[in-house]
Amino acid sequence: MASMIQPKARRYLPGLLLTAVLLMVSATAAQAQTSTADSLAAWQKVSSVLTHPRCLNCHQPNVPKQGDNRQIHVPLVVRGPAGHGVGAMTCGSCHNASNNPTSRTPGAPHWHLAPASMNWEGLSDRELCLMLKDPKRNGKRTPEALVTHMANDGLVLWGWEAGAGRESVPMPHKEFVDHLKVWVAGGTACPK
Amino acid sequence: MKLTTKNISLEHPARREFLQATAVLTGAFVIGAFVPFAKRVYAASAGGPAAGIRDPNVFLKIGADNTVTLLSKHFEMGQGISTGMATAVAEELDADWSKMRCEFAPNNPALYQNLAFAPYMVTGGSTSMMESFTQMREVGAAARAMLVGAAAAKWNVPAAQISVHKGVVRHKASGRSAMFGELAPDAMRLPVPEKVELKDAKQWQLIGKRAPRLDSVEKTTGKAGFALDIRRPGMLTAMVSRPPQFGGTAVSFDAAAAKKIDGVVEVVQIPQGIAVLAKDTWSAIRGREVLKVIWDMSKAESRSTDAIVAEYRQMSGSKGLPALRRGDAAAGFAKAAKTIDAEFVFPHLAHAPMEPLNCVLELRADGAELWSGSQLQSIDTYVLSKVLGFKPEQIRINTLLGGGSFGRRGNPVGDWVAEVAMIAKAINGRAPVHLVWTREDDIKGGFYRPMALHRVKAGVDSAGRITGWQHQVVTKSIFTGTPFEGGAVKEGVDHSSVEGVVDTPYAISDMAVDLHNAKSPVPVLWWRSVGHSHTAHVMETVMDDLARTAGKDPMAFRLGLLEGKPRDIAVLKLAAQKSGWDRPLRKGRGRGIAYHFSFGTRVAMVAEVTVKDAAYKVERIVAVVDCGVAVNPDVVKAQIEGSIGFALSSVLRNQITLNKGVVEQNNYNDYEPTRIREMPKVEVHIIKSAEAPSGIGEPGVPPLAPAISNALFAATGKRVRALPLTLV
Amino acid sequence: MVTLNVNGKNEEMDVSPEMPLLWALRDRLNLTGTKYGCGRAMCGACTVHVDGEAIRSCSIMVGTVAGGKKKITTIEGASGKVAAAVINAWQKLDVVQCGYCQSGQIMSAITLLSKNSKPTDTDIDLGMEGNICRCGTYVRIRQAIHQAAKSLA
Repeated sequence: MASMIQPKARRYLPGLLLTAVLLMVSATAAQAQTSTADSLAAWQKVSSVLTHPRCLNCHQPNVPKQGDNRQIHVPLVVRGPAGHGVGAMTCGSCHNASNNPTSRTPGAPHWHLAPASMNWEGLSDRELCLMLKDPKRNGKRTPEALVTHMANDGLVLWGWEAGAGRESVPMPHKEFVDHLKVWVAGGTACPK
Repeated sequence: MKLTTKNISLEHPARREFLQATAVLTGAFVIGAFVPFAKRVYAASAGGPAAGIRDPNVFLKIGADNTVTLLSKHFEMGQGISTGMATAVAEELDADWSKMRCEFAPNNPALYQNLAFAPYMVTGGSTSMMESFTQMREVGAAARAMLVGAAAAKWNVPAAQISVHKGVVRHKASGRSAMFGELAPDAMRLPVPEKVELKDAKQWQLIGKRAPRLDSVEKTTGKAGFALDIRRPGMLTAMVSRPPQFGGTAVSFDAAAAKKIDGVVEVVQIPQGIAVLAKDTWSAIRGREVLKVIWDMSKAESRSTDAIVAEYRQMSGSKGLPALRRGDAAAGFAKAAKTIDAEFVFPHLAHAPMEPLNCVLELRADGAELWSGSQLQSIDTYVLSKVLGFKPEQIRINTLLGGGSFGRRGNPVGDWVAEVAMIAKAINGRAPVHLVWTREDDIKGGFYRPMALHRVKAGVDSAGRITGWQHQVVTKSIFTGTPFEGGAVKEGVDHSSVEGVVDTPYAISDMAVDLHNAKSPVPVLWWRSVGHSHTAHVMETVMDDLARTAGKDPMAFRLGLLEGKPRDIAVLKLAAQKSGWDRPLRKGRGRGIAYHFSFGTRVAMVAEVTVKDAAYKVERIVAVVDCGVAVNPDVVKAQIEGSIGFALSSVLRNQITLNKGVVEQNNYNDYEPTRIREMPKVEVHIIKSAEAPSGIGEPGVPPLAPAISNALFAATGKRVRALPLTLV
Repeated sequence: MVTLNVNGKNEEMDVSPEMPLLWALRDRLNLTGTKYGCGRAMCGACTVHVDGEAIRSCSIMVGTVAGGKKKITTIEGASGKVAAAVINAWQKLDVVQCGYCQSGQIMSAITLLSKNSKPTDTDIDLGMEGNICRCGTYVRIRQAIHQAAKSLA
């Protein structure tokens, strides 16, 4: 997943570093007093966001979904070798780096399907949780890197500014990141 | 050589006032006496249509560069008619095919009328080749005779000794030869021969062979001229905000926000809605988006589709208008050993041609000029002349290629042409107006294939013979209130509502068909194959059900009902042979047959489907067609392939539905045409025939849905009767 | 002012960066071979190339491709071996009917063949999914892409 955040990271490098430093400080401080129960409770909030159509629609095995009704993407587009589609059907064929008010196509930097290892469709709450913290499947991310990613990545942030005709993630982004931090601080607890 | 219009006056089609308060145009003029399409075509293939003008000066331009340009009286929307007519001309002219060109004729019905709809200049009803085949050959033959005459005079040799081959006129004995371009100026001044001799079919060099389409090059290089590509000096692009429910009208509007959009020039009210005029398309789109309009919906359609279906169902139980009474259907049904009772529901369908409706209109003091994919030039001329207060001869129409039509561009009330005229009038003709519909306007804009509900009660005796057939059809009439009403509606029965049922080729001795005319403000229109688009599905799936009820093979059952009809039988038998009808299929696969006669043409299709859970895929279609002489077999093949691709989406998913009167679909996302991955393998077999050519643009549509439905039944044992076909 | 590099030429125009490329091409540069079909990236009639990739010009904003570095190619400027093979196959097989979608189909086919010189039917179906032909010329589109691939081999 490292490749995914690179373009953004280059642009916002100073800010990103600062966030990371702050995160480490606060995480260490928080870890001491955050319980597993707190972590588990925070996970429930986190998971409610991850399973929102804005996130789940592109964490799919092979074909993205679209819309609040989570229909199969029209026109049909498949993952292809790099998660960017095939032939004349790539993500960049239609999606810009920002929402297009005329065609209503949603847009964000490096718009593409999440890697196949990060498919969230059809996972139970526990499976989703285990997947998210498994470095083999989450793009070799430490829990802290997950927080950084979800706090800063342009494509993730798009979920909160999804444009007309689709619901943005209802929980405020800051609140989501706070829950995520608690989940991490309490040891990334997963439901049974 | 110039086109001559001498001694020929323009037609004045106006017969009565038609402009209503809502500016919906109806009853403009009456075309023809009551002769249903099928009968027209039948009559034509028996005796041929009335003779048309054969003066080459009217139809051909022969250039100094030896090109022969056909002035096509027919609109080209992809059906290949310009290539087809040019083939007929070139055959008799002995022209060099590579020198053939095509342009559209001006709107002059006296010269360019459709002989099947005389005296009007219109393209439609799959009549073009049927009505022009003889005429175009005569034009070619006359031109050939005149070129030979000019050469004979020039070389001072007997005309009988002159031959013409691939665009070269030759006198063998003297060794002299000339190309068309050199002889044309003299030739076209000669009198048009009173009588021309046409070649025997055995001598044909081009007809029945594959000649490359005339429009392939321009359409593969971005150079083809569609109305959307017209640019006139100072032209404004107009988009119209129309009522969200059919039958609504604008009460007032607030254009303040729209006028703030950069590029928006003006906002005007017209009877159809509120028009935003802008310097470019994007500005017009954005201007219209922020326009505020208050609508009066008191007379608008406010029902939902479910309620309309319920009403249709109720109507089907009452007494309708007698569309057919043959024998005693009720008594026959009563004495049947086994019966079936089936209801079918068909949704509204949009045509959704790739090029959305649009046209450019320029007003001048002495007339108006239109650039449009004009399919019914007589109608468009009339609509413009009425709205603008000009005489028909003051209206000039530049017909352009149409980016698809499927019936939509042939609107008898000329809806979008009336809109552009109203807009041009509202701005006093200050600038040329390019009216552009967006895809949403197209999907939501009405003029749909009407909804229909059929109920059939039919039975077979113990020997498997059909004893009686009682048939109720509920739908909204397409022709009533249009200029074509007189030609299609008799005592309340619109032939297009029941075509394909009342004229079925199957021998059903005791048959009764009742029609119920539904009312709704939702405007309806012919959609590729018109009534056949629903009636064929009913007839051909019931036929399969009856065959199975009688314990007979569906193919054999049909053949048994077509005794004495060799052309129909030949089509079915070839379909059986080519599809491997008797070969067993593996589990999860099904094969189904459908046969239908429409527009004078016989088409059988055998569909093969695979079924997995509730999903199905159409794998293969074997089609057999008898359309008389196939003037260009490759174009015939293309039309059948295309009909399958076009109609498949209405089998798979397409429907226009209303929610409290508001169309629920928007664009190609929720009214999605067939995609390439859904396209089955298609094999087309054309019956070799010496009969007069009949329709080919539409007859490929009707058999597709029933063939697929019958294949699904064969695979699953489940009968799905409502379209689109969903296995749930 | 926005600079667009179209068919090898830098074109300057005074438009909003939010304007869809389609309307810049059609209404400003008069390159009308690129068609409007749906305006929502659903049909592919507006397909052009940006650095060889097929994109829907109705959906890609001028700002996304401005600056002169990104090479925009429309049907009018389609050239090279692959383009010639595709257009030739289209003509040989008389793929077109109404023709309105075919600029987009051809531009998509060129991209497809540039990435995959020997596509299977499935590769064609998935790679050409975004281009609708309402006339239903798909049987011949498949044939033409195979034929173009063969002629390039």
